[in-house]
Amino acid sequence: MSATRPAPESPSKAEAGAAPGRYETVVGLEVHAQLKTASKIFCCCSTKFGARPNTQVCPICLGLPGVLPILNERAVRFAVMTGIAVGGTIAVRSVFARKNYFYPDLPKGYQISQYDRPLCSGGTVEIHVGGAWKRIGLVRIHLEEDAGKSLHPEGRQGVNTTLVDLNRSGVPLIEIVSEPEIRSGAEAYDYLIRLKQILVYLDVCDGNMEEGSLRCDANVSVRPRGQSVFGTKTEIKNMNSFRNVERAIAFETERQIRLLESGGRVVQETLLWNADKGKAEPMRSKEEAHDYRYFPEPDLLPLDLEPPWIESVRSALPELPHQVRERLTRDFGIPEYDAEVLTETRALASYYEEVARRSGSAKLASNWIMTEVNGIRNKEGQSIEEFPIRPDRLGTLVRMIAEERISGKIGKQLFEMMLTRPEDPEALVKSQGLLPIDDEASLRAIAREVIAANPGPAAEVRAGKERTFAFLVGQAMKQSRGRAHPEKIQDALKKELEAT
Amino acid sequence: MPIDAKVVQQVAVLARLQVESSEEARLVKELTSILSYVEQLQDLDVSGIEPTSQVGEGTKAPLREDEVKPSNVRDEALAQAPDRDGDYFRVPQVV
Repeated sequence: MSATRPAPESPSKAEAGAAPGRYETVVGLEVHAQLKTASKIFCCCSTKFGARPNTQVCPICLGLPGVLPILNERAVRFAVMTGIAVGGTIAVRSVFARKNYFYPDLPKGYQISQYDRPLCSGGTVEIHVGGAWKRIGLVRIHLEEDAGKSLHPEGRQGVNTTLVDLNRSGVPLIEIVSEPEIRSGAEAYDYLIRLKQILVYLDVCDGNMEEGSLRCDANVSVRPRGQSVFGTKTEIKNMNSFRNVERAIAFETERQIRLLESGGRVVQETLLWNADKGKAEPMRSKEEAHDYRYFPEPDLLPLDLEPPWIESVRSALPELPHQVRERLTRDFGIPEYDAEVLTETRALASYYEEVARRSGSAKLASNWIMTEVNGIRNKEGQSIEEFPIRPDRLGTLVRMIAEERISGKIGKQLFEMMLTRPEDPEALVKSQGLLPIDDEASLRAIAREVIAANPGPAAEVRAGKERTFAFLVGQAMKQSRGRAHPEKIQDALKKELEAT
Repeated sequence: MPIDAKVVQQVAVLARLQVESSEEARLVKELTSILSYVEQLQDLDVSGIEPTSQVGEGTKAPLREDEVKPSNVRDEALAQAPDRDGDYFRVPQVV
């Protein structure tokens, strides 16, 4: 994913993945977010990504007999924070359950999850597509443990095997289930962007899809517009980016409509998204109907949360994206669009606030960050934390421009230098000889040089050809490396043309 | 729920057990007997009683601090596995 969020889509493209004509797309998303704890959900093994295989394991997460899980307090706190942030209802009692299935990366033969009594019910995520806000309802958020990781290397010596790394086994997850209220791939994309933004603002998940900290499955169906009964849905898995979720939904919507239009019917099945081919293909495993035989986890007592504790989590909640957005438009008077771009991450919003305060010009600060800073960051794939110009220096630069002590053009030259040099722009402008030239004598000297170097155009201007004057002004600005005061250099040129 | 040969085979598949058809009749009989024994619980009147899922209810679930403690049992675990490939457990291909 790129370092900054792309500008909001135009309405036409925003409909990507929306069913054309007489059909309506119905999508529900299941998002698994890895909680940013140091240790696993039921044991003290590290959750650190990228360790040597099977080094972060113990008898508990290996599923050995005779062990007991003990719940990680921070995992509970993070799940509760998320639930409160989306306006869900936190259950004072929730119950863990065993979800039974066989797979080599699930050593116990069951996953500890929550079933009929999840930690959080309800809530909403607000999305912004095609210029309008829309609330997507949530069904639930529950806590569970992750499974290990299976690798399927190409057959060695003709033997096909699966390799298992259990470092991820027992890593804490929350599963966030949306209502089937998403109506297009574009809406799904925006939902994921905003959900990730909330999780990252809360600092409960790092949001890294490449490392699997955020995973998403989509349930997709179509139905004739106006029909209230849902069509048969398919489940799409294996989408490793938000854009792929958007594409997969668009693909599957079209496939289902074509199928229905040609007299066929949709079969309920699980599909795997193939990003290279750009299509969702049926999972080629044995199609056994899932029978998870959930039952209450006998090794864990129900999770009882005291209402005062829930309230203490609520009052300690950090500022959320929409709150920062509202604050920036209110306190700095910048447009909603700017606030939207500047609140992409909490760190970017803080960066902006400091530049705005130091420069004394909130809108100019916003323009510089949205255009120049984000331009470089997109090109270099940098987060704002990695960006070499810190807000104190950018604030000074923007102040110099706002006070018209330097032109925007010189400002850009200084900005380029500041990317690789540590100096303050005040120092740079002096050491690099970039101070504006606005004294009569210097400007007249530049004018004389330009006229001498361009006798032909000078003669044309004297003969009354007004348009050529602009050429001479351009030459003079070039000669001064953009430092000449634009109006004063025109005066100087006119005077010199008359005088010579 | 009446237990028949089909249910026996279903349960066997879910448990990854291989049950020969010659064993079905015996298992039908045994499972039926176990279930009907447990079914006596259905005679109890539990209306108005909050369902519980634990014998230990009433005690608060213990929580642990989010602390990492090293527990590198890789070598012992891999040594006991039926098969391994370097640092990995190796199993028959599943996809």
